[in-house]
Amino acid sequence: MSQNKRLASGGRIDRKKVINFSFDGKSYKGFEGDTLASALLANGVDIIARSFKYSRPRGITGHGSEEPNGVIQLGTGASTIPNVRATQQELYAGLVANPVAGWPSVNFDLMATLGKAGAMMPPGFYYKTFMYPQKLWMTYEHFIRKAAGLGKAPTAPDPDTYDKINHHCDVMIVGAGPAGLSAALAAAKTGARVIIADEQNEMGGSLLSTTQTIDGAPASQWLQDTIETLEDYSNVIVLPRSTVMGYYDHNFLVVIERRTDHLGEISPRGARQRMHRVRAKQVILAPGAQERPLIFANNDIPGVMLASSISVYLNRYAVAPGNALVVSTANDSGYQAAIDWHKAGRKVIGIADSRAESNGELVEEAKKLGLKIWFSHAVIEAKGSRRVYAATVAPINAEGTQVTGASQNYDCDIIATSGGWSPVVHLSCHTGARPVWNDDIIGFLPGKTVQKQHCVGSLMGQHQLHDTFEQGLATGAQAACEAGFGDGSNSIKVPSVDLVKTGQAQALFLVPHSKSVSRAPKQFVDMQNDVTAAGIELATREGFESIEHVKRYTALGFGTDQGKLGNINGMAVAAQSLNKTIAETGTTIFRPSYTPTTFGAIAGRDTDSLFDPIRYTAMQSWHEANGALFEDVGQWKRPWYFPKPGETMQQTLDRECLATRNSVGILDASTLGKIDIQGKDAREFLNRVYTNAWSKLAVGKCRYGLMLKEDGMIMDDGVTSCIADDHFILTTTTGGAANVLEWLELWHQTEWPELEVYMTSVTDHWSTMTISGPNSRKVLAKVCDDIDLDKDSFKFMDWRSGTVAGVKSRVFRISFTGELSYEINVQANHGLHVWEAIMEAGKEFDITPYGTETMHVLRAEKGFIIVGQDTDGSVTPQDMDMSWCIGKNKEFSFIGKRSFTRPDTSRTDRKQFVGLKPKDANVILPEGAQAVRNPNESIPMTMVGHVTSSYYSAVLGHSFALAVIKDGHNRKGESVYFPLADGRTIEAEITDYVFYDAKGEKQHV
Amino acid sequence: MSNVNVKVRPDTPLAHISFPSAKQGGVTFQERGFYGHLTLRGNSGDAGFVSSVEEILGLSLPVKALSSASNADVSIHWISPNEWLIISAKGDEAELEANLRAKLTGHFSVVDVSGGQTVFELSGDDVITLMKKSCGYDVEAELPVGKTVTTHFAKASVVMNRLDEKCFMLVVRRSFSDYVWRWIEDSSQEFGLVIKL
Repeated sequence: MSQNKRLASGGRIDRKKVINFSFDGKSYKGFEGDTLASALLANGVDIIARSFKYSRPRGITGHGSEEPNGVIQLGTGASTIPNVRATQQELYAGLVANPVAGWPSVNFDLMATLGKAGAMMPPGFYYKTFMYPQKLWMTYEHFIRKAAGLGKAPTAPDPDTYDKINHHCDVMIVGAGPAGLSAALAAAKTGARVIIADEQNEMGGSLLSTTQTIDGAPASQWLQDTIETLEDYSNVIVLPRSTVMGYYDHNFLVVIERRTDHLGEISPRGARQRMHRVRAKQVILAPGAQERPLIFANNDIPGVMLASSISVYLNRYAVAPGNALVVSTANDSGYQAAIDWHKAGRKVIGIADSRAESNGELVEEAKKLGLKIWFSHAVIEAKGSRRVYAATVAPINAEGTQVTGASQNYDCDIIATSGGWSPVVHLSCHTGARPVWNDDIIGFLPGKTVQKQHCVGSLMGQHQLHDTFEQGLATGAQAACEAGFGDGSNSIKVPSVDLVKTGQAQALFLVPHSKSVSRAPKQFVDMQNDVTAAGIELATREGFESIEHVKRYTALGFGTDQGKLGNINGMAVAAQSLNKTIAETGTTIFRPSYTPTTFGAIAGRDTDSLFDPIRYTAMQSWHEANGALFEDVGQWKRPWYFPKPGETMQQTLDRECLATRNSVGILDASTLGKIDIQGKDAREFLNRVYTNAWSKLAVGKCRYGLMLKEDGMIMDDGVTSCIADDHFILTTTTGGAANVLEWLELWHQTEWPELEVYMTSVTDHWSTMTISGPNSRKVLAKVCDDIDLDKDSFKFMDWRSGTVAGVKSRVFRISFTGELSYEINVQANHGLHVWEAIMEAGKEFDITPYGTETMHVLRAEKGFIIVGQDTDGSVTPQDMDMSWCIGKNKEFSFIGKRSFTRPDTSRTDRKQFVGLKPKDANVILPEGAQAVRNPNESIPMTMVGHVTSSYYSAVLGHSFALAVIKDGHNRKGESVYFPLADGRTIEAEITDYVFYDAKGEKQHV
Repeated sequence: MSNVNVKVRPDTPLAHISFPSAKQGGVTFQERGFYGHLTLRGNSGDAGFVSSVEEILGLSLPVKALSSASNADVSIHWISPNEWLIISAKGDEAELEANLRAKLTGHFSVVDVSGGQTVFELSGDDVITLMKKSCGYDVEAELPVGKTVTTHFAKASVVMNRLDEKCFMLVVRRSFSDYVWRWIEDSSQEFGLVIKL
């Protein structure tokens, strides 16, 4: 029974190329050119899915992105993709597809047997459930997901890659049907940069399945010529298999190109999908129109399809998905399905036309072919469960609101339905334009927009091919002209196409039943979410009158199909129920993405090690070769510590700390921010941005500076050195470098432009290495003989220029460890060389490289703060006991000064910077732990501060911490307690924050 | 001058990379290491400033936004209304800085940033596509030969100049150069990447 629904000839498939695939565990064959949907239909597979709420069998309904039911799980394992529309998935060899819903299988659904989940899920289920009983939500959700199935996300990393590309173009055309293609032809001819994208594998839209002729030849000939012409233009980018998923402000569009989805589950070459980010001067929307189904009882049974889809399956894929057809239509275009069906040699039982008459050409043709037509009738109910076996046809009144006589059942296995054509206004909505109802076309048209946007073709309700060509060409030329190309007139001959005379369509949405809506069998509006006409009526009865509320209450349009088939019908049902017109009820707004977009395409190559820039210093290769572990500081990788084989982290830290305290250690400090400041007003500028005074800092001297925000809170700190009277070099914290430069520029440019000062970042220019410890002078002396290193001529807080390891250097005698220290700065191209030379020179002193962790311990032993660790944007210099760093007599004031007198900053019970010594010398307090004064107080306890830094000190032989404690400066010697989440309570004594070398003698040696 | 006897060995920011050895490809990459880079700040409304710069560089100061001037050895690029980037292929930044400092008067600054940035050159038949994959600037229509823009390349900030129809110069900060290189290596896979040393 292989492909028993395939026609012997015709279609755009290649019968010589047989493709094997499987669905729901069974093997099938299809042809190249098939979609998964057309191949399944060719093989007579009726049931593709089970419905979300009621677990009803569902089959293919449409033929494109609108498909609500034929949604499958593609592939297996790491590359599996949930919720793929079978109608859009091209067949490839070995394709494996499975239903997303239905367990254990779609053909034997346990849920359907045991009782339908839907009974538990009336409209508003989510809201009712969230309200009461809330605690059951997790249980419900688990049950719903497993039972109904929403597709499964892969659990392993995606084996494919995705990437992005940026485009700027003059004219972007969305949709490559007759309107889009003719617009592209006219725009391309002007020389404008044109991009045309279409979601299908083949461009052409309605031309792919039309039986109309163009210029006297089959439409496929014009199509082929046109696409070849466009591809030959160097100024045109043709993007098939590319969905414009979003249209954003300023004519920015996002297009997802599926580059290899048609070749296999995993890309055989390069990126699987590519996101095109298009910035267009002019946009032409030509997405076409979507046929709207009529709503009638049991309209979800497999075998009920869109009329246009039946023509597409017949003409494009050579598949006749049934034998005996009944058509239910409210317009002429429904007749096309019957005519095509008849011409394919299949039986047309009859056409139920809700109108009293029509003088259209298609109607005449159907009559000529002898097809049975029932005017003023409609299919009011489908019979069947796993497949349609009959259609119930009844006479209805002219308004389409009541059944007026006895119904009759006609045996058939397929029902085609056409309620008219809804313009695909989705993209036009993305930029905020609200669609406008139009009674003439019985649909919503794109609303007024502020974008440079044009709309053509059936998006505007234009269904005559000839007029579409004419408008497309004119609009393409016009858009190009508005983008600066051509004179706006079209010089391309409009293809010759016969006009098709059509009769007046009827605005029919919900077909009446002999029973009331609430009593009739289910009349599905949104099949993916199992929203029925009765459900929408219930919602309006419960008081949800705004269409936006109805949508959310019923979940109408919330599926992965965004309600492409159901929304307009839903609005109509709601309007009818509320006794309003559709224009009064309005519509909901569509948002990106037009069809589901995979996260891979959104991420592109910004993943893994390319997710964010990783910044390295010039010495990175040495650090890696010497076993460093790294810490992320901003975007920088900094050595964290350098473990030797077999060492625990604490052992490494102890070794690194003691080596520095007793001999010499070396730190890569290149990541510190460095800002070069030049100009005659540099000193005054520093006076204003730092708390302390800079007027008298002599050339060759360095000074610690503290920077505040306007609120008086510490923002950054660092050492600034005087290079020349009008030239300084300012250092910042690693993480604060960019912010500080922006901050300085902001104040300079907006508040003090009169100060003559220029600032330039030199962070990357200098490699900085700090040698620290009692032997650091001896090490430096071995590689530098042109700086007098004598302690009295090169003092603490001096800097000198000289030559280190043959390289011109600036050497700063500053210390973040409290030891004798030299910070050597060299041009970064020489950083690694100088580092290696120092390591060689330091060998005899067992020079020890250390990372950020040991740096933290050593500075904490000295009570030196780290901005961002010991401060958090809410502490003042006074809180940190740093009043010594505040200039009292500066002429101009400085940023933050005025805030010192705010009541909040001047109160005495603020958290203040102190040291902590745990009573148990081996217990390390967790950083962030909250302090209380009375450990026996009942919860909520009175918290009086918290730990900011905490370590074990090898040189002290005990643990210690830095903290901010309320009124801490007056409470030294008292105990505070730290009740921890694990039940322990740690007692610690408040101490001074300087634990080592309290007099500060060592840095002066 | 120091007497410490060490052989000085400079490294470019990509010294640690083992470059691939393909002979053919749509994109060619070259690191132009050891160029001299100076950031010049000053007032282009000051005729003395303009003429002094021109005299020393032998190039007219580009005062029009996003413009540049160059000769065989030196190029100067407009960065902001009072900022220019001078790049010298000869690596004579110290001499240039000294000459500028000697000649310029009034409010100006000259900063040597040679260690802090490097130059990548990208060329080849597919270079435009690579650029489009890497940055949002309209390199096709808005970046004619000689124009200099400060923009982004992937997630790094770069100064970009078009040297030729199919050749672009990127000035990349040293610490970002490994990232930018890895981005180029990754995104040029589909074209093939040739390294020019």
